[in-house]
Amino acid sequence: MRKTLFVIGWLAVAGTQRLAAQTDYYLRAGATAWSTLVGDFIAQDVRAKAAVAPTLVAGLGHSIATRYRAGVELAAESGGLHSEYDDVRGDLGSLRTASLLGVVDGVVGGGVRWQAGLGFIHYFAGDGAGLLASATTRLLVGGGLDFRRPLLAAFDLTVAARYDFHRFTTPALQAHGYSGAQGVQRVSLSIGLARGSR
Amino acid sequence: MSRAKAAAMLALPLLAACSDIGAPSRADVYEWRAVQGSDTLNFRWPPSFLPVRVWAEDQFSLPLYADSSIAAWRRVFLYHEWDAVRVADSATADVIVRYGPPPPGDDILLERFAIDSRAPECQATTLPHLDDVHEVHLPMHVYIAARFLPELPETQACLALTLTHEIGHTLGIFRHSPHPEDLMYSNPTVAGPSERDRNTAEVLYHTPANVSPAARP
Repeated sequence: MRKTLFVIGWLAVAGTQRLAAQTDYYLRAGATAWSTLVGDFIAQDVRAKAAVAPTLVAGLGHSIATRYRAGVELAAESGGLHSEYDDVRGDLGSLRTASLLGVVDGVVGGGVRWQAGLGFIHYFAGDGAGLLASATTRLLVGGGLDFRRPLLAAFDLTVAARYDFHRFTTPALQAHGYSGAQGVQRVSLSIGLARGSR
Repeated sequence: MSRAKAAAMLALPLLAACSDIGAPSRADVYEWRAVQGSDTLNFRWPPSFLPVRVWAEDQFSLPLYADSSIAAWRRVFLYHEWDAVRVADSATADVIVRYGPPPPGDDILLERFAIDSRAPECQATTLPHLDDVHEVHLPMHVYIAARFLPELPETQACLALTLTHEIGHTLGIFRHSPHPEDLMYSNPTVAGPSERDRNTAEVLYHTPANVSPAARP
C-alpha cells in the first residue's frame, strides 16, 4: 500500500512538473475597439457604438506538438456604450463583457506566434432599460498574433494583437422587432507578461 | 493547414461581418403632432433636458404610478432619446403631476376622459403651456383625478394607466391614436405602450422639432 502511494505521488509530482514545463501562462492589459453594435434608420441614421474599452486578458496554453499549443483565453472588457444620431450622442450606460476562447497557436518565427480560437462572448446586463436590459451570450471566433521576448529570468514580455467577430443581438432588440444580428468586429492590442515554456 | 484553407477561415468571418441586423419597420405610426392654427407642432425634449424631471403629488399612489409610467416609456427608447426621473421638489420639476381637475385656461388641452364602460373611474388632462413663439413653458402640468372612489382597486388601476398615457403626452405625443389597442388612444384600456405607440414615439424623437422647451425655471 505504502509503495503504491509512493508511486502515485511520484507520478503526480513528475507529471505536474512536466506539465508546468509545457504550460504557458500569461496576463495582459490593453484596449479593445468595436465596430458598430447596432445600425438603424429611424427617419435618420442611428448607431449604437461601444467606446474603446480597457481590457484584461488571462490565458494558458499547453504544448500539443512541437510547434503547437492549445489552451484557453479569458478576456474582460469594461467601457461605455452610446448612441449617435444627428449630432446627438446619447449615453447608453456601461458595457461589460467577458469572453472565453478555446485557442490553438503555433510558431510563425522570430518570437511571433499565430493564434486562432472559438468560444463565447457574454454581455452583462446594463444599468437599466435599453439595448442591454438583460444579459446575452454569443458565439465568438477570433485570431491574432503574439510577440514574445525574454524580459526577466522567469517572465517574458508579451504583446498581442487580436481580431474577433461575433453576431450581436439582445433580448431587448428582439422584443423591439429587430431580426437577425449585427456582425460585430473587434480589434484589441494588449501587453503583459508570460511565464512558462519558451 | 494549407494557405488556401487558412485564407478561407479568415475570409468567412469577414464576409459574415458585412451583414447587418434587420431593423423593424416603423411605418405604422399615428399622427402625434398637434395643430394650432396653421402650424403643425412637433415637440420633443432636447438631449440637454434629459432626464426630464417629474414631480408627482403624494396622493393616491401617484408617485408610485409616476415611477412605473416613466419606466414604461423608458423601455420604448433603445437609444436614450428620452429619459425621466422623479424628483422630490416640485420647484425643480419639468412636469408636475397633481391630483384634481385642471384649472380653467386657454392652453391646448390633451384630455383623457374615461367614460366608457371599461374604465369610467378616472380622468386626466395634460397642459403643455405653449406660447406663440413655439416654446413650451415649464413646468408642464398633468392633472389626474378619480371620478368615483379613488381607493377602489379599479380606480387605482385607472390612475396608473392614465398617468402612463399622460406621460406619453408630456414626452411629445400631442395627439391621440385612433386605434383603441394603443395606450395613446383617447380612452385607453391597455396598460403600456403598444408597438404602434413605440413606433410613433421613436419616429417623433428622430423628427426635427419646431417646438422646444423654454428655459428651466
